Amino acid sequence: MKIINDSMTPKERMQAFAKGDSIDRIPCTPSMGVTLSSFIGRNTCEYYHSAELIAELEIALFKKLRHDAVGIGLSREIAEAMGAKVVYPKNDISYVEAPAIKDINDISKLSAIDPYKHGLIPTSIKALRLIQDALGKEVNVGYSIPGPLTTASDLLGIEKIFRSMIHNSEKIHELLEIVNESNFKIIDIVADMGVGFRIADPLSSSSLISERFFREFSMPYIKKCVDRMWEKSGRDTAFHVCGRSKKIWNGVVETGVVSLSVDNVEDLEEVKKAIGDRVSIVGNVPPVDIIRFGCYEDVIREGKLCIKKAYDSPKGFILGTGCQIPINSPIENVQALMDTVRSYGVYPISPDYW
Amino acid sequence: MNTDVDILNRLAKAIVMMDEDEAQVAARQALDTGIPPEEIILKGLSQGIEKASRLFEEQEYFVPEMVVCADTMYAALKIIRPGKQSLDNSLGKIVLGVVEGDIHDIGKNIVGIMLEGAGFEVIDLGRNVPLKVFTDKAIETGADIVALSSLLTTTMLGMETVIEDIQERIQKSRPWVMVGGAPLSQHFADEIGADGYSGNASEAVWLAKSLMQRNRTAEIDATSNFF
Repeated sequence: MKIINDSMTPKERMQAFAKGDSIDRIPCTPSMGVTLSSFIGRNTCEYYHSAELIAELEIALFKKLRHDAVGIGLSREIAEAMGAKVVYPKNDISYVEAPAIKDINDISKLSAIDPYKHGLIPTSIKALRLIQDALGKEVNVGYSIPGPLTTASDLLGIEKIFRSMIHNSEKIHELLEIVNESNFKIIDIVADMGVGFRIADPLSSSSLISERFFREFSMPYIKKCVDRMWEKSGRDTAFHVCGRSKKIWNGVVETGVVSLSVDNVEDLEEVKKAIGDRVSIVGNVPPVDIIRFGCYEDVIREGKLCIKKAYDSPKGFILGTGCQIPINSPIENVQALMDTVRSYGVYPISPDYW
Repeated sequence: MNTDVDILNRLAKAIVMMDEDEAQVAARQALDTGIPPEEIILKGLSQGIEKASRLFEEQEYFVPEMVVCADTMYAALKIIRPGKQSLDNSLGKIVLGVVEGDIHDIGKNIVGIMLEGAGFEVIDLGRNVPLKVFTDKAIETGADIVALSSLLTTTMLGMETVIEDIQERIQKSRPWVMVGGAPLSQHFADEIGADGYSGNASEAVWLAKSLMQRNRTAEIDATSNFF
């Protein structure tokens, strides 16, 4: 396997990619962040609470990998800023211990956040500025927030959200509106920072809810966020959904996002055929079986397979992982993703000869 | 006139339709008619949950529907079996829980509902269950199966500890161990010495039933050897 040096900077590559112009190789954007905190010798709890460490990790990873987008984002922090009790373990991702409200009828107790004051949002925004200053000339910087329905489930609790979808749907809409009030405050700040925008929405997954419920409770609110970002910055939004998603691909595209990242349970070839003419697609090397528990050769093999399936997708293909890379994944396996695009992903791509 | 079968069918349908009021009416009527509680559960409630489970497998019903079907089932169950006594002829006893360090329990809850619907007695330990407690409860209840769930790659490693703990502390009538959860795989289950892995809730029910078959066969073999 011959690894070929890049002949474009990540920024040049992705700017050309966005225009549909020719590029030197398939881009690659491994999904990292807090789960890679050990790369700079820090634990997850330390990471979450320090803008400097968040930035340090992003910069250190970029120095090693020179991948095609860097980025950070929020997961449970918006719900925490709105009153949920969130736990930050030393060696694991954060989780909601107690929702912000116990009853869907208590929505009036919630209010939109001030991103400069509440919870860990100021820390995150500070980190974003540090990253943009350090890396923004060489590589696109992105900022990710959870989908509105995902944050709603952090605020009320996932089972209660599900019950309310069936018994009390008007109240869910009320809750989603106030979540978006918080989201808009964040979007407005991020819009001025010259960074891209991403929404990650596990609750929209077809592993959890029907297409009907996605269209009723998730899609309209995602669209409002996408529209807001466009309105305030003229920039596009990318979307990631975990688990099964085939039933909602068309719905996701209708929200106006320009890129869809899918989990490894979906087939890239099917994604390409269904929506590759409308959005770029990202994915989907298995993060657990391959990146966490596999070896270097496994990653190359799976990465090649992804490229073979989707390299010719009309609106473009970016190699990535199906979901966030797990804690304790060997960094060599993440490097393997980059090595894959720098060998098998270099144009002209000829899978028939592999 | 309503036959017993009619009433039990109505109860099953109420569960599938997520109609709590109707389910409770049907349950009350079933008791008043003199249908034994065991039969109401196994032929009324189970039928309803099994139908809902099939809809879930066919991707007609999703997790919200299963949650509300379960609520409906439990509302009826409160009327049928207010004291929550042990079932005399359940398919088996299963200790179920999400392993220590993990609080994601939606998947486990769906599995629990479907196992109960299929006729198992489920002892649900909840989430973030300290690893030793699985063995403690298995011993206390004489469980046939211990079922472990995890959504995190970090906490799923604790499943191996649970299996070792069971092997060390239970020698006679040791329960089978089945595992499940999004980051798991058959390969992982084999590596840690689990007796079975299921990729979704319906597979979990099938797996539990087949493990119970193995149990009986093993007992028969042991008895034959004795003589």
